[in-house]
Amino acid sequence: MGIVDFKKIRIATDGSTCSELAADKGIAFARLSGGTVYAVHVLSKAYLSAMDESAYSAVGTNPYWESIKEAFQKHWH
Amino acid sequence: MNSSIFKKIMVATDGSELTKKAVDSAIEITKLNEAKLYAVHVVAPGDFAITQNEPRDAEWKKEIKEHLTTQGKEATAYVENVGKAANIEVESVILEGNPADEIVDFAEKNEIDLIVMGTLGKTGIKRFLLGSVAENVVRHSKKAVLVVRRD
Repeated sequence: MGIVDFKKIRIATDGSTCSELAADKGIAFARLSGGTVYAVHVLSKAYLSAMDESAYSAVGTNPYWESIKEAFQKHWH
Repeated sequence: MNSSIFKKIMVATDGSELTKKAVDSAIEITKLNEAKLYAVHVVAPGDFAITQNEPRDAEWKKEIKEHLTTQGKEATAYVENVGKAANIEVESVILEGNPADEIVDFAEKNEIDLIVMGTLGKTGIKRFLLGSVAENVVRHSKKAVLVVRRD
């Protein structure tokens, strides 16, 4: 094993098509290296403050969570 | 099982100490993917023009270019040696021109899946987090780019 072993891979996603492509690569890569994926989505403060409590509860959960899970399941059945 | 995601990988090296970690990463990824690795060095003689087209410039430029090419070959030979030890196929490539442009073009023309490079090398200024070559490659290449920072 080399000095670099890619055991921890952070995937930053905003749920867009582009970040899904990145997530696909990241997950497939983690599978090869035997690493762990840390999926991260950042809710920007500006975005949150623009939504009041009721608007946020209407959304329910993070709308991007499904796409992260989907990408994950595609590679790890 | 062949679940490799990158079939052709290139590592851009300027032979500096700072790109060694990028080389290590490239080798490891190549191994994991059972891919082929291209060790690319770009000779940029333009950077060393010191006078403005005086007659003796031609001779001077020729010597500089030869010197830079020798250095470049040493840089790619280093990757070949590390690759050989890791039992992977490495092909050395020496290009000439603007480093970022040449790296982007090479990746495009050779259908490279992943470009690996260091953040700053010989032209690096420490206060910049991202070297200008790396920055331009990240901005302009359609390929996946891995920028490796040194510790």
